[in-house]
Amino acid sequence: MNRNVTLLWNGLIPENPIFRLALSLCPAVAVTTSVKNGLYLGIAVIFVQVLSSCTVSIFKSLIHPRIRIPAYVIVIALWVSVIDMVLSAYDPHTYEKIELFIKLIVVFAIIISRLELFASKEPLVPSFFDGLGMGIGFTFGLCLVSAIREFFGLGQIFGQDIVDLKFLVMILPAGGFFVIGFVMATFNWIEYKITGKIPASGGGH
Amino acid sequence: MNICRFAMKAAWVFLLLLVIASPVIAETAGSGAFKKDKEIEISFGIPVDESWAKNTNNFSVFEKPDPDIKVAVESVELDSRRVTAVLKFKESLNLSSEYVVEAKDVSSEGKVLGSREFFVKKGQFQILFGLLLAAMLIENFVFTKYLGLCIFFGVSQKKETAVGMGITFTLVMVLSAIISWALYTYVLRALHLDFLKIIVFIGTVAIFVQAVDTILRKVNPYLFKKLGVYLVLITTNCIILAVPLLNADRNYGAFESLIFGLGAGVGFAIAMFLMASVREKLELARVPATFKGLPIAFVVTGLFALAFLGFSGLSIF
Amino acid sequence: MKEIIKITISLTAICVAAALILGAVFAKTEDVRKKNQEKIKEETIQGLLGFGHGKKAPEDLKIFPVQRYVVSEPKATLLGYLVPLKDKGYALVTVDLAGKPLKAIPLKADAAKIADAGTRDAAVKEALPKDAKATYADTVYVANLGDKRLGYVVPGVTQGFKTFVNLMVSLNPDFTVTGIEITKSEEDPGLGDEIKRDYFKNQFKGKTLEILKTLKVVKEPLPTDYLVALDPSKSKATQDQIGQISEKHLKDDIYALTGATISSRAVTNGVKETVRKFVYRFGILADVMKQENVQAAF
Repeated sequence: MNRNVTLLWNGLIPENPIFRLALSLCPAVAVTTSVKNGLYLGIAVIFVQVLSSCTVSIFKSLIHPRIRIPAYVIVIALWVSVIDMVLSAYDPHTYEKIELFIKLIVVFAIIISRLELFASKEPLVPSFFDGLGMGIGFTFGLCLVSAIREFFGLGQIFGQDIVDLKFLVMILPAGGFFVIGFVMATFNWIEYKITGKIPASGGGH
Repeated sequence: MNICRFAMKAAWVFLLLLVIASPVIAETAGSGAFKKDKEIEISFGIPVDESWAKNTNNFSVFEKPDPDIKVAVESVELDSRRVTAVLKFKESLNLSSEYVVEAKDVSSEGKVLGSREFFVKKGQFQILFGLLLAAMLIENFVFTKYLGLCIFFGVSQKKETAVGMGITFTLVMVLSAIISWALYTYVLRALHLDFLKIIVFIGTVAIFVQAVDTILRKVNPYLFKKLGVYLVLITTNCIILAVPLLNADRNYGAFESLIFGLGAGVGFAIAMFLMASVREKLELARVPATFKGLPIAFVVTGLFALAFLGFSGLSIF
Repeated sequence: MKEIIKITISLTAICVAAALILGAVFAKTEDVRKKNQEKIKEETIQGLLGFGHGKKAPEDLKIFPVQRYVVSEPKATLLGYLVPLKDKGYALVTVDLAGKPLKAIPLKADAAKIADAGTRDAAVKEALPKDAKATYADTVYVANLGDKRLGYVVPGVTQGFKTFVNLMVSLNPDFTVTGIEITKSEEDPGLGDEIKRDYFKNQFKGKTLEILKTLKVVKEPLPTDYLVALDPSKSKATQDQIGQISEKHLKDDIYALTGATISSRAVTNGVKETVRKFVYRFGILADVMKQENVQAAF
């Protein structure tokens, strides 16, 4: 049980997919104009990550090592298509705002890298928690960026007016880049204060 | 240096393709053209009678989807040879839609020749060029659509790698856009299997990349050594999947899909090159320790994105 | 060699399994998706007519869709309107391009058949001569409250700043605009996307046919008192005050959104065109139905 908690925590902060691993950055800029969109996409990613991790973990002995990458891609595409269809059917209002990005979850590097690095070697339960942790970490990253952008850009949180603030650049694409840059730097700074070392930040893909 | 030579060759091939394709494209443009937003020019090919042409009742003009709603013609002017006529309108025309001009009982040298129809729309070539420009600059995938960022940040440290990646990506992008278009139009839509499009598109890209990898390895080991590394990375670039999806969503035709893919590829290459140029300089700059690496790259990209905002609304035709 | 066969088989198996699962999910969700889309459309229409947002639509509110087809026959092009009849049937009323009535053809179809695009197209094709081709153009909605005409909801499309902007306009029986709604657009968030905001959309409220004819977009700041009336959720103004302010600004042009003049102009032109075409066509349709003695349900 202890290990599972560690796996969850690991995805949330120490190996946060967005700020630490610098993976799957596209949606972090694109959909984070409002917390609602960020949360929504994050939940979709959690589902895809957990379901794919579990599928790969269960069937890992049947997947020939030479075709493992195409096999992973098909598994991810399968679950993305399922989520895509379910969301478009049951919540068309929110879906239409982030439609393209739901479909693009297929190419989010974070998912396939977790399958390759973790789920293909470990049993079902740890794979589940690893997938869940990464998914939650991703959602957390999206929510943080979108909360900052929505607050400063529109003066709202969750679509509710808080203050009369309109700093338009935050809502524009440029704002997304600025916010992620600064949040990443803040993460580095915190780690520097705790460990006394500047981490060699990301750049992975 | 060899990469540059290869880039030149690739550019020539594209140019050649465009030149070959342009007559085919131009032919569909029809026999009339917009002059200004309130004028249409049509050419009869033979001299027509002035008294006939001056009568605005002989012309009926409407937008193609609304054949029952006529646009009032204010006046008609003939050129000195009486071959081309310019129709003037009171209201400005909607240049993005197609108009039909019906000329009733065309009369030439006193003889009535029967009615003729002219189709007027923005030239296909102009539309395609507009699309290319849009995909490259106005809707630049990296700076305004925020796609392909993983590769963008990962490979833009050096100018040389950025150029290599840009070229490889553009080639793969164009070809896979065409293949995906064909698959979507002739297989998926024909059989009502739209819901399989995500799996099919990503499968196409993966297989295609694998094929290029194998062929290049055998045919041109030198080029493979230069570009092989990037090939593998391409499958994780969102743009490669986003372009076929957008093509399908917007119902683009074959030429439009090709041009959209080309624009996306070139736009990505431009973004990579710009970014790499800045990052090479950044290496020498004194950046605060916590901002070193990715954080400052993000801030720079934000500045680029702001600059690219200036392209929006740009239209040449 | 043996390994290749093994790999091929396992890859094929994965693909087939994935396709089967997807097929099953598709079959389950497609109906729900269609139903939900219908519901959204219905909500939009009711919202434009002044219902929704806590105000429930009355029982006797009836909305009748009228589909328009462009019929190309070998010799001529004509328009066909699919009109619901009093006796629950449907008729295809054809009109030539100059607005002269041709005929009213009864259709063999029921409400369910008309609601689905595929079966509707087939029914229309069946009613027409063999060599004619019918293409669906658009649907307008006629709303009645009991036997009284409440208004119309008309769809339109216009070229926006980036892609097309789809909109819907609601009109009262005198063809005065009572509201607009943006149903689909891809304008820039924070700039052109503001066309979806109440303070922009409400500027069209109350514009009569006369005003619409000369309506322009002006690049002037929105007067502060007008804003109070346009966005009532943000102020504490009473209905009377809002009415007074709106009355005062009724003849104003549309105030362009800051930094999004092109989007504002696109929507304004779209509304003008949509209303102009609808008024022209509906006038003809009403005349034709009278002449041909078609007993429409609305």
